[in-house]
Amino acid sequence: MRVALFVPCYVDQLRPEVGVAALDLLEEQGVAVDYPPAQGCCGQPFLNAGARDAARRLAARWVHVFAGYDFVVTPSGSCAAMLRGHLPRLVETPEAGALASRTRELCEFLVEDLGVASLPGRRAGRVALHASCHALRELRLGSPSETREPPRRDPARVLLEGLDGLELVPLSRPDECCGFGGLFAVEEEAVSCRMGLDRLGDHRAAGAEWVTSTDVSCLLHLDGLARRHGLPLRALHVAELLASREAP
Amino acid sequence: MSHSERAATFVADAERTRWHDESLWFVRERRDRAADAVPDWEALRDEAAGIKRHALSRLPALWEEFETAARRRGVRVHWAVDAEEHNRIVLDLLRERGVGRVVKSKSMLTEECGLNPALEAAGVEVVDTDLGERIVQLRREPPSHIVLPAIHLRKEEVGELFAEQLGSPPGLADPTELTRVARRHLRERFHAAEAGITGVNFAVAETGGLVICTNEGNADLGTALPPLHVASVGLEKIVPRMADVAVFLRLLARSATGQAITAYTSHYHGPAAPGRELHLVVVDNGRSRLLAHPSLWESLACIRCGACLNTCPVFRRSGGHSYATPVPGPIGSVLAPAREPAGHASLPHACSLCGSCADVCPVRIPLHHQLLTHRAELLASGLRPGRRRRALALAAAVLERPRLFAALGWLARRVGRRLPALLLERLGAPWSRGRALPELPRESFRALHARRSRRDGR
Amino acid sequence: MAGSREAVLGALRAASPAPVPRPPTGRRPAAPEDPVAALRQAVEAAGGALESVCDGDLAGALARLEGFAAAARVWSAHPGLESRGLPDGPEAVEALEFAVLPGLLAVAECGAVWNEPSPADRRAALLADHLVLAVPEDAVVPTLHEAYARIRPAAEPFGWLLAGPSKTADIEQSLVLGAHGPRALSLLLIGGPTR
Repeated sequence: MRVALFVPCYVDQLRPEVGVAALDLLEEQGVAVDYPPAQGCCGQPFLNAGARDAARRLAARWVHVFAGYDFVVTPSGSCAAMLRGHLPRLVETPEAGALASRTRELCEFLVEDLGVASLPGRRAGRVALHASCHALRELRLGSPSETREPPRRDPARVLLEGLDGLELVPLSRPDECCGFGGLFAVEEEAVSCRMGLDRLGDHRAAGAEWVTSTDVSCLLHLDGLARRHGLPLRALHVAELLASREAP
Repeated sequence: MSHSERAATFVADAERTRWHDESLWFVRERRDRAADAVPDWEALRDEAAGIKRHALSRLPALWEEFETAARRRGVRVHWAVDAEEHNRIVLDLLRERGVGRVVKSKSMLTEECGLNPALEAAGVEVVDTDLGERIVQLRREPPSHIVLPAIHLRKEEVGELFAEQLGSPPGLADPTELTRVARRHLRERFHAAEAGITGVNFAVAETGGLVICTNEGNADLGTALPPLHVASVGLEKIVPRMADVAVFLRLLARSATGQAITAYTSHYHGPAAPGRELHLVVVDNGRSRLLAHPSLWESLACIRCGACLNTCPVFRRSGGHSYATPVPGPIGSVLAPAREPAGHASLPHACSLCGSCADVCPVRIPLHHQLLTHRAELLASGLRPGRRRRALALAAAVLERPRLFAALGWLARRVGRRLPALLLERLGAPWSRGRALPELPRESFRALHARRSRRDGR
Repeated sequence: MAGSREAVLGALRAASPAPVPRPPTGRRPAAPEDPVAALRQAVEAAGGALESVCDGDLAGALARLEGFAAAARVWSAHPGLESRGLPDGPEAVEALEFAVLPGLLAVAECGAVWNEPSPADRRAALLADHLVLAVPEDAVVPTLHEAYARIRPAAEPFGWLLAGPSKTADIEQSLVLGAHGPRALSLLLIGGPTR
């Protein structure tokens, strides 16, 4: 099984430790992981901004770099959603379609493809899981609160629930958006910040010390708000939480 | 003015924003419980979505079938190409009968057409009879929500308004007492009216019938008392068969307010008695153009339940008036730029792409994906600010060259770690206006990975 | 205006997407175990009340409704009950205390009752303070699908589904009964004569 790690551009530059944690978790499962150094942006920010030509060029480039792998795994729900959902319509080649269907969000890969039921070890802390909208509503990793479809498990939740010592606290609005939204965060700065503060308020009311998510982008936004407002909440990517557990 | 500017004004009042958000979230939660009570909820959504798309693919045949059946029952059917023609038809009908006083029940179509100002300019008194609509009419402002027109107002504000305009005792702030004041005021208007104007929820091709839903019964009073009933309907509101109405009724009120059904669901098949008249104005006003769009045509499936407004985290925190369009929220952000791109170019960006609207929509309109379509078309047609386009082009040029990107990242982190915090915050605006900038790491992942590979001897 | 009709239909013809077939129905049959209990729950949720009248005694059931015995003005469209205290003239249906209408069927899932009123009965039902609907006990159907299979809405110029009293929540989402029409609604489920 040839597995490639895709580390999105902003994770590469701003939160490299998330990429390291993802690599650690995959290698712990005995997966030999390649990191193709030619990789770059998947095109998501451009697709979301309406710049389809730029998105198409970046996506085609991405396909070229990752073609041939059995799986492409990424610690980002939103990039995985872009690649699985939009890539085949953006780059209309059989190669792109096949690659899209073999792209996985990290926790999804661990739970659904490798069959990991839980990880050994201990990680203390009161944690709330902030659902990444794209992991939830585009990739359907979990059951959106709006729908009455047959329940689907959320792989990130499965792994967190299986961790010894970790207390997963429920939020009053299970899957409310944090307000990041890519360019939305700057185009609609006032609403975006209000959404983020409300989201953090829900975490605080639940007694969480940590906010975690499968998306670094949501976390950069929430962490920035928490620090600016001096809130006693820190943001950690799910991969970091899982990789930082103590050996059993 | 863009949506974000208007939204910033709304958000600046933190207390009102919190309350507006919580009121609408409360409606969303009621909707969730109502959906829980229907075991075949998702199958119903599938069927409703399918019937609407089926109907939209054969509108000319359905309307001809409708017209034949409706005429047989004594309904007079009129056709309007645009808002102006719609208003002229309605006004002519009133004038020919010497009507000076009209009661109107909620109709987003007449809002879209600007019927009230047109009638008032011609000297016709028009009274909106839905309580929320009457409140905003007295305030001389548009509704802020398609189902809850006065959701942006506090009861104290309604009390002040009624004291000023309806002569109620000052300081009244109890919703029940305020509703009683409006009831007395509107009861007089119902009795005095010479015509009732309504919207239409469903036109039924098979029978030539109209179905109109309200909770207050205002459409019923407005059509049962005056001898003339004028109904306005958008081209998209037709369903093939009467039995289809059951599918939509099971979804409509549950999605809208969390009720199982509205208090009144009235079926009109012609004038109720000799001497009474029922006129229907069928309105295009841009709908046929929208129907021709390869993907946005699906937005015509909308049944105006308002669920996407209630669930939208942006709508809840920016208020309906920030959209500056008769139908606000996610569906409004699809419809308005389709009608007039230049005037509403910011609306498709008033969205964090969370996708909750598409999952709550009873007829499965892929709303957030339609907003992406709009974003692409607006950018391509040059309707987005030039600096945005240039910034995107520059960013793409960098990201297409991963080595350049890595080098610039290295430089930015190196310089950024040395710059004074305040200067960094200035450079990071508008991101850093409300948020701390990320703590910059020493190295990128690709650098860490290269070292790790050397260490592992790979 | 004939020109507009052709213009609109022509524009629609030119714009219509490729034909989309009618969807198959994927609904699961939803029959509540106890339809009357489901109906009661739905009626109460809609702000109304349900009384089971197992002995067919409409008059007795009405007499048990608060205020009915003392009511001066009662409008009846029901064959089993006489109207009383109605003044003549155009104000005939203002200041009604009760209106009693027969219902063809009741829908358990949503609490709605189907009724085809005459214009006068309809006005009475809208203007009375308390609306009473009398429906045969064996005319409770599970959902609106079964209801539309039984009713013939197009047979009369007007018919309606009524669920609970007139209501509004337009001021701060506070539910107020009696926005314009009745402030109370009673649904009487009339069983056949048991003795």
